[in-house]
Formats: sequence, structure tokens, C-alpha cells
Amino acid sequence: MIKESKSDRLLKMFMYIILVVFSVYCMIPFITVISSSLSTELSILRDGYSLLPQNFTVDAYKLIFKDNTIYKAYGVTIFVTVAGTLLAMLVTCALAYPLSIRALKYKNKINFYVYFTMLFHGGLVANYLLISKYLGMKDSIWVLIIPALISPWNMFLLRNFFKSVDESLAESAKIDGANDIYIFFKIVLPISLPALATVGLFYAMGFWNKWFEAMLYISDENLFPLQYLVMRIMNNAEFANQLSSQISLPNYVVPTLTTRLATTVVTIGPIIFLYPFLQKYFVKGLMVGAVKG
Amino acid sequence: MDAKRLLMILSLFMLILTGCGLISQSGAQHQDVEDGPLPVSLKFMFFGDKPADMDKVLKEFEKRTKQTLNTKLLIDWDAPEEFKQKVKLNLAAGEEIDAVFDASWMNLEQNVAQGYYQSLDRYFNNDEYPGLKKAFSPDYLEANKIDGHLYAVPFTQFFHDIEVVYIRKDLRERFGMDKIESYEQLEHYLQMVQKEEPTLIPLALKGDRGFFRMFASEERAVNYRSDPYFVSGTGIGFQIVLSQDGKKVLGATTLGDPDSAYAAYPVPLNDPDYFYTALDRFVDWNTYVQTDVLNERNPMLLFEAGKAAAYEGTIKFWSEVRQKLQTANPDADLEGFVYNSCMRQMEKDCIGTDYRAWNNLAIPVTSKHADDTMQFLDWLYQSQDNHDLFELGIKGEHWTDAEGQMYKSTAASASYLFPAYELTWNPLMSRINIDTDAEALKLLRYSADPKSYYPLPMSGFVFNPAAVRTEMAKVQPVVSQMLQVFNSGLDANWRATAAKTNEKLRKLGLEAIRVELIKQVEAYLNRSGN
Amino acid sequence: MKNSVAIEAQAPEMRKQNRPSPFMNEMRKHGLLYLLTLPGMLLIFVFSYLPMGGIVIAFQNFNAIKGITGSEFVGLKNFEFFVQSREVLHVIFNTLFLNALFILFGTLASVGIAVMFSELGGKWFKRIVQSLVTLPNFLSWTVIAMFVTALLSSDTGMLNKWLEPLGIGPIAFFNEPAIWPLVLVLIKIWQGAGFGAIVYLATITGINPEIYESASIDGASRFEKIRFITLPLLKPTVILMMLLAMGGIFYGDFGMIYALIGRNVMLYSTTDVIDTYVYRALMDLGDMGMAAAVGVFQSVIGFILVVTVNQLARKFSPDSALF
Repeated sequence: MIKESKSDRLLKMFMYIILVVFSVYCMIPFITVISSSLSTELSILRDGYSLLPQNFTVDAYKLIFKDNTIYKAYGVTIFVTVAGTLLAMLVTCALAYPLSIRALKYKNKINFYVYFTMLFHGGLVANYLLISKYLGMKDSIWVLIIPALISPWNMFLLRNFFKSVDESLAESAKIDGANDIYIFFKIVLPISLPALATVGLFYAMGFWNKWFEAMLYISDENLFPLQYLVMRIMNNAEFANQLSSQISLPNYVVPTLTTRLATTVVTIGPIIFLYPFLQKYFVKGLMVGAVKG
Repeated sequence: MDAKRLLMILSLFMLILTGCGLISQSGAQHQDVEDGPLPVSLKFMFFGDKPADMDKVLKEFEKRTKQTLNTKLLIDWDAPEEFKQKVKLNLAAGEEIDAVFDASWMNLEQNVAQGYYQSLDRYFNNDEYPGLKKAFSPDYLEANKIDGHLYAVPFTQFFHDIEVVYIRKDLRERFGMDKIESYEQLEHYLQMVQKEEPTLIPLALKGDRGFFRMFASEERAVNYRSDPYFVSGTGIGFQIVLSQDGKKVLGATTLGDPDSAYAAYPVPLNDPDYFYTALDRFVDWNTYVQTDVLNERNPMLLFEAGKAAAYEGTIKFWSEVRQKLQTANPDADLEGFVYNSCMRQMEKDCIGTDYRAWNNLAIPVTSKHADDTMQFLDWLYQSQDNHDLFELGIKGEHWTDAEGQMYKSTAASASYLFPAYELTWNPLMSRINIDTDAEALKLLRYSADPKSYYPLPMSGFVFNPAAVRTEMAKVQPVVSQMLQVFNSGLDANWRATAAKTNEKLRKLGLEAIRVELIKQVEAYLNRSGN
Repeated sequence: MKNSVAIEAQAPEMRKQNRPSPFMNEMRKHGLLYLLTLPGMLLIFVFSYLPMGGIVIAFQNFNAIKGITGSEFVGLKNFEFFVQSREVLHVIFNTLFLNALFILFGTLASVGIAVMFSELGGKWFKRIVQSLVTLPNFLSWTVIAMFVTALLSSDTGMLNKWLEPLGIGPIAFFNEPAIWPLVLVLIKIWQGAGFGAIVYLATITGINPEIYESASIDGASRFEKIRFITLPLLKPTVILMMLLAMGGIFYGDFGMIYALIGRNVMLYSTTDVIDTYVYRALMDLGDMGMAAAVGVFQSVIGFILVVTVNQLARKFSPDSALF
């Protein structure tokens, strides 16, 4: 074992401290969100936010879980995320890998073809006409998936990861008579696990958070994704507050602040567990180990 | 080879996906023919929240009208922000929508100018539609016409939402003060708060509202339109002054115009300070306002939480504020100071109004069921029972009768909170809740009484910005920025700032807007001879 | 096997020319690869290129009933309000300045965090801390704005409460435009650095550990290893991320700024960006043509910028270029 010098150890300690402090700063507001969502609206109004729940209550959550539309929404979103991520990864890998091969003659034309769409968009009206009128995808769960299967940003990222794979591996396989597809599936993919995990995570987050397409194209309540449903609940709570001022119900105080925080907890809960699960792919040396083994 | 197979699977997937997308369109409507009218489905677009019991009420409606209307209502509910976009997108896609909500504070005038809506003239004052004839008087309709035609059904309950400064009754009593009946007394209250309760914000205001109409001129506006009765939608508020006979425009002036611009006006209007005295008072009173006023989006919450001793709002929220205030602080109590004197004393002929409703329902030109939609509306306004079904819900379940044509809430009222201003608000038919705070109730009744109002000059006039939209887009941001600062009294040298800004605005096209405005007003005066 | 197929297919063409066309040659060599790209290209064609005709709205007096094909063509009129407004240079500057700060400091922070994570051990420590730093990314800007107000408010804010015993008078953060670029950058980093580090972390894990081992044998310190191995190997990814971000440099972060600044006019001088300005200007007009015009303007400038920088990248670091 090579012993670490003093300056190395110092650097290491310095890094530990920074990371711990930073992660505490990241954690505190989050805990506050959870605690405040479990406090009464009035205690927040009176005393502000705090790290611990005040006057513990689940009123805000009651509003969200009041009927089973929220469970349906979970179902919709989980399906969209799983199916969407799988399909998106398939199609994106299929597009990104060829573009990562130096010898591909027309790769830059295709690169440009893809990139151009990142900057120039036809606008809301044209997209609405396409999807709702010509493709007839209104009120279909696929409208949340298909248009989002290729994200140019994710594609370029993946392409770069594939590019960074050591060329010598591909070369030696070619000499052995393998063609491009074989190299892709048997050599490049297995050692690109961190890359796949990263891009997969980004896609998953994208699908999980989808709401805009739902707002435009979906009116069937059974197909509302989680984010959109929760947004409506939020708007509704604020709306109900306005309307309820015209009736006079004792103690009818719709919690709006705490509801907003509760909706945050409800929507991000599941997806947060994805990243720690994927972290096992972010281990150094995974690449070399897989090839040799 | 497994790779080739994978490719095939991939392409198959794509086919399936697109196929699924195309197949899963909503099923076709099937119509069974029975005796009675043919069944009709009407698609409405509202914004806000779908009341929990909406479907129940709709079923009741269908039950009652099976033989007469045989109409089904399909209502789409959207968040307010996205609503405007969605309506335009649906129209662009040629979708058949039968009725949409629109309003002056959304894009009503612009959409009418673009020709999106059908003219509804023939359905009113027409014996074939008795309900509409009864509920919408010719004068009311006249005031809501655009370009001489009625393009949207107006909805309003009161023509004015009375402004009030809410104060803490318990604090006032603690200070040994009598009920507040004047600005001087209010100022005394605020000063006492500063002295005795230094942790409280004396007066909480909303960032983009400021002092609103406090200290506004209480003169009866006979032949001019100015603060607080500006013509809306002109980019910046203009004082429009008419000749004595009300037939000619003497001029249109705005904040920061040089004094010479006012010279053509009769005394006392020829002194710009006549129109802007309030701004000076704002500056004086700024010391009672919270430091972060421009960042404030919800002063009501501050007040309810007991962090502010007063806040400026309207009587619409009276009950809610009192409830929340007392839930947070059982010792607190609410009192309101209506700051306009003749409103406070509930005098006749006090409030100027142009009788324009601030909420409307319009029928897009793409709809093929205009007759059916208007028949539904006619049914709605034919009887109090019909009207109340939609506005309040099922009688006995969501509400009950109360004396004096009012209504009482029940335990289930919260399940049917219908945004009445989108369909049913009407000065003759909408009921008031009997459980409203007594003070607020008196004021609400007062604002429902047509005798409380007097008609403003040019009350049917609507400004069409189409010809000057570029100038409006340039002027508007500069104006709103300046006004926000003024409205909270944050600029002690507002006169100098206004003059400087005025010069900037002229370079941006202020004159073009002014000229266009005068032109349209004169065309309106010639047309209506009013 | 390949050659014989090639010769047979070339037979008819050989009558015209002695060599096969470069296109066919390429298809022969990499045909399967191009086939792989087809689904993706098709999706992009359908969902991105087909609707592109909608760009003409920027040049029309758009009327929803008349539609894209029927609305009146008005040339560059929709651009006038933006180009002629007083504020235009100011908001463009704010947009560029803030975005440049976000990109620069965001990248520094993300790279720093990724490097630090890659240097440290402790499986559970890493798992927990790595996840914690990504948490802020999951909060919406509305929620973040609620906390920022609670923190910085002049009358009731926590920061001012802490400064009070130190004798520092209450600072009116919401009235001081000068500090807000700093505040926005800090908030942006806090929100995005942890999550943004994931990309760099993935790149680092792809580095052959043998390089580090041989450097250790040569006596390199941890710091030197970072400086001479890790960072240079991160360069292509950093450049790619920056290139990708550059296309959007004329687009302000509307969600963030609208939630945090809202209608607080005092802060506009340093925080008003193109998107928030245009939103206010067009709010009451509801004019889709004018809104589209600004979008086209932002796209065109971003495009010119990216093409230029991409050319530079191709010269100096060809592996990092976008196209």
C-alpha cells in the first residue's frame, strides 16, 4: 500500500468537511418541508417554518388523499415513467451509439439534424395541431410518452459517454471479425453502465414530472399524472379559499401553505429513491472489471 | 442474430405505439332517438376547480330537463393561468367548443376584435327567450356591448366590490378609540400601533395593489373619466375629459404630462393636482407600511396571522378574514373601515359605474350549437329554482332557503362551491348568504341596490388595442413598474419621476395610443349620441 | 463474405463508373448503424420538424380562427415592440449576465462536488451524502421562493433575526437590486449543483483506474492526480455541457425568476430577464404572434452563438464538438 502523504490527508479532510456542510444545507430545507407539511396552517402563519412539526396534523395530506384519484395518478405516473424510460433508453441508445463512432461519415449531419430542434420550435399552436388534430393523441396515456422519447440533450450526453469508451476495445473486437452491432451490445453497453444509469435517471425524472402535456391534452381524470393532479389540487385549494369566503362555514380553513408543501412531499417521494439505488453503478473501475471478466 | 431481432422488435414497438395513439380516440357519441327533442351535448370551458358534487348537480339538471332540453353539459375545468392559452389552442385546432368563459381582465376585447365569438344580439329582448329577457335588462346589455353588439353574456352580482381597510377591533378598544370613521382616525390608530405594538406591521399592503383607492377623489365624475374610474385596457390610465354636453373630447391626459396639457379643461380640472392628490398622501402614509411591500403577495395572511394590525382589501373577504383571524387568535376581532365616505354611509347615487360586468360567457364561432347553448341559458334564468340549482346546488342538501331571498349554508355546502361568476351571477337573481357578518351584509345589500350607483359618462365604451398593440407592449411594462412604486408611496419625488417617465413613454409611442384612444372615444360618442 | 456481396451489387453501377459512390460505400460499411438511428430520427422528424412550420406565427398577426394558414402576414412587425423598447438592451444584458454566472459557477460547483465524491471512500457515507446533495433539485421554485422570503424578509426574516444581536441593522434584501445576482447564483447552485454533479461523476467513474495507480507509483499527490488526470479527462464533458447550455443563453430562467422576484419592481434592474419582461409586456394583450417573435429572436441568436463556439471547439478540441 502506498501511504498517503500529509497534504493528501489534509485535502481529503477538507473535502469531507465541505461535503458534509453542503449536504446539511441541502437537507435542512427538505426536512422543513416535511415538518411543515405535518403542521397546522395556523402555526406556520403565526410562527413561521421550523424543523419540527408544530401541532402535528395530517390535514394537508387528507386533502390530497381524499379520494382515490391520487392512487390512480400514481399508477399512471409509474407506468409512464417505467415504460417511458425503457423505450426512451432503447431509442436514444440506438441513436447515440452510431453518432459516437468516429468513422461514421454522415454523423455530423445527423448531429446537426438533432441539435437544430433544441433551438427552433414550431410553437405551441403547431404542436397542439399535430398532436391533437393530426395524430389524434388526445386523452391517451401515450401522449405523455411518445413525444418525449428522444431528448436531444440526453442523446448528446449519451453519445459523449459512448465516445469516451476506449477505442482499442472496439478495434480488437473488429479484428476478431465482430460487426458494429455486436460491438455495441457485447462490449460497449456493458461497460457504459454509469452512463446508462445517468441518462436513464434523467429520463425517469423527466417522465415522472410530466404535467404540461397532460394539461393540454388530457381531460380524462383517470389519466391524470401525479404532478398534474397535484397541481390541480393546489390550484383548487387556493380557489376554494376564494369561493368559500362567500359562504360562512365555521372552521372551514382550506390549508394552502401546508398543502403546497404536502404536494411536494407526495410527488417527489418515490423518485428520490431511484438515485441511491442507481449509485451502485457509479463505482470506479466498473468498466475495466467487466471487460476483463 | 439477436441484434437484427432487436431492431425488428424496436420497429414493431414504434408501430404499435403510433397505432395505439390513433385508436384510443374517444368513442363516438351514440344518439338514441326518443320522443322529445334530440339529445345534445354541449362542451363548456371554465376555469378553476370542479366542485366535488358537480356531477350530482348535473344529473339533477338532466333529470329535470329530459323532456324539455335533453341536453348534456360536458364541462372542462382548467387552471386559470393555462385557461387563456387552452381556449386559443382549441380554437386554432378547430375544436367545437360551445361556450367559454372570458372577461375584460382576461382577453375578452382582444378576442372579440379577432372575431372569435358569435354575436348574441338576437337571443336577448326576444320573446322566444323569456328567461333571458327577464334577467337581462336592455340597459344592462347595452352597457356590455362591444362595437354595438353583444358578444358575451355578462355576469355580475354587484357592480362594485366595496373597498375596506380591515383593522383589529380588540386593538382599537385597547387604545381607547371610538369606531373609526375617517382617515384621521385611521391614522391615529396606525400611530398607536407603532407606539404600543412595535412588532406589528401597522398597515399591510399588496405589492401590485398598494394603497389602491385610498384617498381617491370623492367628487362625482360627471363629464370625465379618471381615477378611480379609468377606462381600462389603455396601457396607462388616461383622464378623458368631455365637453359639458358630453359630445366632444376635450382631451386625454396622463400622469406626467406637462401642465399645459390640462389647460383646455374647465376649472377645476385644469390643475393636474386635482387628479393626483392621492399620490401625495401615499407618500405620507408609507411610514406605516411594511418595508418589503413590493414583495408582498398576500397581506391578508399577514393580517390573519396577527403580524399586521390592518390591511387594505374588499368586503368580499369579510367572513373569511374574521374566521381565520379568530382561529389563529381567539382574542382578536375584526372591524372594517370603508374608506370612501359615501359608501361608508351607504348613500344613494354614490358609486360611479359603467355597468360592465367583469365576467362573461362567450360562444366561439366554431360552435354549431349556439341555439342550444342559449336555450340552456334561457332555462337557467327562467326561474329562481333553475338558477339556484347551478349557483348553489341541490336545495336542502347544499343550501336552504332563508328569509329575504337569501340562503343559508349547510354542512354539505363545501362540496358544491360553484364559481358563480362564470355562469350564474345576476343582479336580480343571485342570493346573498344570510350568515355573512352583519356589517358586511349591510354593505353587500347596499352594493346590490341599483340606487347606490350613478352611471359614468361613456359607460358603454370599450377600447380596442389592435391598432396600437406594438406601442402598448412597449409602454405597459414601463408604466406598471412606475405605478407600483407610486402606489405604495415609495417615491417622494413622484412628480419628477413621472415627468421623466412621461418623456420616455412619448418616445415609446404614448402619443399614438393617446390619439387612437381619442379617436375611438369620439367615434363612440357620435354613434351613441350619449 | 462482405466483398463478394459488394462486387455483385456494384455490377450495374460499374458500367457507369469504375468506383461505387461514396454514399453506397458508407451504407455498405455502416448500414446497420444508420438503420439503428432511424427510429430516433423518425421520432424527431414527426414531433420536432413537422410542427416547425409554426414558426411563421412570429411573422403573422395570428388569429386562432383563421389559423396558421389563414392569418395575415405582417413581416417583422411583431418584433418591433421588443427591438424598439427601452429596456431591451438592459434585459438582454441581464439575461446573458445571469446565465453566464449560472453556467460558470454552476459548472465549477458541480465539477468540484463530483471530484470530491470520487476521491472519498466510505460506501455508506457516499451513498447518503450523494443523495442528500441532490435533494434541493426536487423542490419547485414556488416552494423555494417561500423559504427565501422567510429567510430574507426585512421585518420577519430569519437572517435579519440572526444579524440583530450582532448589531447589524435589518437589511432590506428585497429592496437592494445590487446583491441579487449574487443571491440568485447562490440559490441556483444550491438547487442544482448536487444533481448536476451526477453527469461529471459518471464520467469520472469511466476513467481507467490504472492511470491513477501508475500516477501513485510515480509519487503524485492527490491534488496532482486531480489536476493532471481527473480534470483533463473531464474536459470533453464540461465542454459538451457548456455547449449545450450555450444554446439557451438567451433564455432566462423564467420559472426561477418569476417565483423569486415576481412583481417586485425594485429588483428589476438586475434581475429582469427577456422572458419575464416579455411576459409582462404581453400579459394583457394575449398576442401569440409577438410572443412567438421574441422566441424566434432568442433561438436565432442562440443558434449563431452555438455554431460559432462549435466551430472553435472543432478546432481546439474536436472530440467535444456538438456537430
